[in-house]
Amino acid sequence: MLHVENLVCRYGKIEAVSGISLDVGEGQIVALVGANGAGKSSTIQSIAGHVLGAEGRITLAGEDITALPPRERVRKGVAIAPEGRRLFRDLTVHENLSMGGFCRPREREAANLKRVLDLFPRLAERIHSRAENLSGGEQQMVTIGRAMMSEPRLLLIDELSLGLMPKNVDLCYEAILRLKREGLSILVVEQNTTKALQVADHAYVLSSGRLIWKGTAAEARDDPSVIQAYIGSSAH
Amino acid sequence: MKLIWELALQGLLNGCIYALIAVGLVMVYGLLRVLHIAHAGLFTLGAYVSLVVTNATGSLALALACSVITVGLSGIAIYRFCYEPILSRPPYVVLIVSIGLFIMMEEIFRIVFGPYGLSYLKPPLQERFTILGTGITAAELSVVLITIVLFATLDAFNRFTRIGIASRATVSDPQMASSFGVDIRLIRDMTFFIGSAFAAVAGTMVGVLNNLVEPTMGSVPSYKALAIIVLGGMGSIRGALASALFLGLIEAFGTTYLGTLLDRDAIAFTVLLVVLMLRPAGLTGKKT
Repeated sequence: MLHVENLVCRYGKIEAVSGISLDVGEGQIVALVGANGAGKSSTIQSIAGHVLGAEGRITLAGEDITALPPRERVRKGVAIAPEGRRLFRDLTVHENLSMGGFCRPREREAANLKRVLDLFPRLAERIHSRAENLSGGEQQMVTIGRAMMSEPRLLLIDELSLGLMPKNVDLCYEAILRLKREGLSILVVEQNTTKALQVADHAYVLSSGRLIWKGTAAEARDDPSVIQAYIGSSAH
Repeated sequence: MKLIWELALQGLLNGCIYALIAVGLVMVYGLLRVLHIAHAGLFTLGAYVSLVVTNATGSLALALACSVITVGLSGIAIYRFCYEPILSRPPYVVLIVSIGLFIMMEEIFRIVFGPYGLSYLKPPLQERFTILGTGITAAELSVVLITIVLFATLDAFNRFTRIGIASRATVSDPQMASSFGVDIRLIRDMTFFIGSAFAAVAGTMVGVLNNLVEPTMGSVPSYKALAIIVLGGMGSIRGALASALFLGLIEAFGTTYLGTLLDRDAIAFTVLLVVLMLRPAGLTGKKT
């Protein structure tokens, strides 16, 4: 579904990502792990089109989307649940979800909304609450739900479990497993390596902007020293 | 009791005018974090267009429509040609440009229409009614009704239409809104059009109420509207409406009971200072 080739991402003179290549197959969950500052978020934001001047080649289902702006990538089927959630804090849950589907015909909104509320039933109870009044877990659900409203083929999730209570982390991971079973391709950036490897099919490990290990999640799970050796204490 | 009712009515009237002017400033500030001082020039432009068209055709309704369209499009032009190219600069650069624009507009009005005020040949909406024992003109009643209708419509537009929700999302996080397919430029154009159209209505009604339109008529409302958006919590339309009505009432009552000590504007700004000392985030307490 997604093929990234030689991705380079710079902020001024600092090179945050140095020639990373990765693949996400159809209906797969791929984990992108690494310590703080490894370049995980820059990678995922470059794929979403949020980083100006990123170099390399990004294709979605064989179509080159490298030069497309973020909104065109959303139309093509790339959606992001960004780090820090970045919800529209003055808008209600319903309005936030509605914005996620802005690029789709309005007549499909009700069906997409139903799908999201099936995925996160708790949001139905909070549908008229303002986003800024939600708990961290609920905000993360809205963030994923908002991305799902755009009918993606590829879902990018940046720091899925960051700042969430364990119960909410489990809820969010159950949700992405369900989405995977429905055929969605998911690239998840995580510092909670253990949790990410439990659900992922493949894993990539980044360090200082470079790809230092890749393989199946099972390989990493079977031999935790593989990941521990690369990212040490941040793996938990 | 009759005096209190009359003062309340006068305060409500002042507040409505202030609210109509301030809403454009609030919308632009919310979207761009820019103090759009030239908005006061658009208010004056609205008054002139309405006066000229009414004097030529005899129809205030037609004049109001022309004024709204002309001033709305002028607002878009100001954004596109004066603000958009310098948005990446520090905010004070845009502020200086805006102040310069306002001064330029005042001078253009002076050159085109002369330095003295113009009046309606046949002042419209002068019929008088009595409400609860107090006389009120059709113009005054119109100001209150128009304000209620316009604010209710704007609120409904922002809450119930897709483009209105997109506009609020853009205020909250333009990059994320854009990434979901919102055309940020269209939203900004729309915001300038709506805000400027409100100023056109305010300018028209002030011209009708006073039967006077002059080049400098935007000066006082410009700093009064700035006070209102600070009082209302910067960027909040509902806050601006509440603080405009509050300020209108304070002025009406203050002028009657404290008029020998302070003039109208001094009363308004004294209250503004006191309120901001007690509630630095404004009356609504909305954080920016």
